[in-house]
Amino acid sequence: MKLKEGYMLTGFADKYIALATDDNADNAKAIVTLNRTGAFAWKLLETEITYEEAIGRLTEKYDAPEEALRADFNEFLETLRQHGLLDE
Amino acid sequence: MPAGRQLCTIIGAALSGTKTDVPDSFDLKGAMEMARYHRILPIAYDALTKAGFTGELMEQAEKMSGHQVFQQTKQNIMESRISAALSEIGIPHYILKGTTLQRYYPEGMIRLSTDSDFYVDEPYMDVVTAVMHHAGFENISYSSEKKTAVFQKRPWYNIEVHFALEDTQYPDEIGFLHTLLENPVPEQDCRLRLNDENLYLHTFFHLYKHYVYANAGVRMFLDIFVLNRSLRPDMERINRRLAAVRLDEFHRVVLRVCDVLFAGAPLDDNTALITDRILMGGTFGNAGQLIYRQQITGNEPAGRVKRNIVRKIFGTSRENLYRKYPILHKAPWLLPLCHIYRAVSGLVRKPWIARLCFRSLRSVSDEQINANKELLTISGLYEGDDSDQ
Repeated sequence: MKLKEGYMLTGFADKYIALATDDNADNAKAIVTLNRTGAFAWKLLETEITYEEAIGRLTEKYDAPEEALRADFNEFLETLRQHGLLDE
Repeated sequence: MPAGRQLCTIIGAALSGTKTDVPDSFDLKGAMEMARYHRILPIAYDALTKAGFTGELMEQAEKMSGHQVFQQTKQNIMESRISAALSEIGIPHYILKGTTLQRYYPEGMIRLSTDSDFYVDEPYMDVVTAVMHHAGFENISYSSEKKTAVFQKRPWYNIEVHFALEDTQYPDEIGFLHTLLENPVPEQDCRLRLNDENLYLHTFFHLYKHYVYANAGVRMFLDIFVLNRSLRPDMERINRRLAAVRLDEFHRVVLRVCDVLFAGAPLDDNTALITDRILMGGTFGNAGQLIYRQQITGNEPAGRVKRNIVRKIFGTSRENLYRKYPILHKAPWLLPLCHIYRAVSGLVRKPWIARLCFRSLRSVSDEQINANKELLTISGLYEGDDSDQ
């Protein structure tokens, strides 16, 4: 799975915003606001990666129980699906 | 005012990675309003987050900052597209001012820009205009004195294309400004940028123009502070070059003001007066400051300044009307109707501008003029005239 083309992440302070790079007026709003963990997960999906590989990378990065990381990552993937950002 | 000064101190601490003591009496709401007024909300939000502030006001600031950063990012993407289009047809160009300064700010501190500024040599004017039109932009104004064209595209993209750095109303500055384009740094394809010293000088000169015209807000002083820290320019050389246009004294004042605002330097009477005016005036100043400053600097006699303010309320110049309504070339007798239409639609769309202007016109006084003379004198920009004798 991978993020669809045409979207990017930008940030301010400790927050991140995903947005479409197209200048179509219909895309004239931010898609989703992410925290630092979400931004890391986003960056993982910028290149093709399997679900288990992503979980492995998250586990290495964050000192949290794997179950909690899986739950958070699943929620994140669902957000991306709702906005049509995920290529699976 | 204390909230504004305290916020600047907090921003300065965030820039240097240090902690600062924030008094219990700190007015967070006032600080946020000041940050919005000076268009530095994302920077303020970052600094306040690092200082440990949380709560409802911070959540509101996060939402507003997010929206502003989103718009800024879209503007940056559009700017890159225009730059790529110019490079594709081999037109050398610079990107100037606000958007070029972001790289000197720490990660996470987003410096907002009102628009994107390009510089292109004048012979390319027609080709550049065609490129902008092809990209969906409309040319909404052109100044033959400043040789600047303003382009807009919905929903919020603004690009100014400068075909000269100087304003023909100020011939003394032309030689100095020409030197700022020398020895550029190639960036990508046909895109150039000013070298470090010229970037510093151009940023300072831009601050000076706004300061004299009406006001230079906190954001411009913050730019100088950040560039000073990042570039560490040769100050002797900088002051020598500025002495040629008699701005070396003002430069020293600006550096002192930056230290007071962002580095905790002690406040004295003069810097208190200057920083009060900076904080009160907003990003680019208000109509009242415009009248007073212009009267004092002698660039515009009072009568002409008032005429300009009236024009601000009631319409634009003849040149811009012809640009906006090409039918005027065939039917010039429609010009008065176009003026009336612009006046009425302007008053309907932005009634607060008319209110501000009328209030300013009514309140011009000797006291205000003398106060502004004092400000410009202590800033090293005014040496008096016959009326002071």
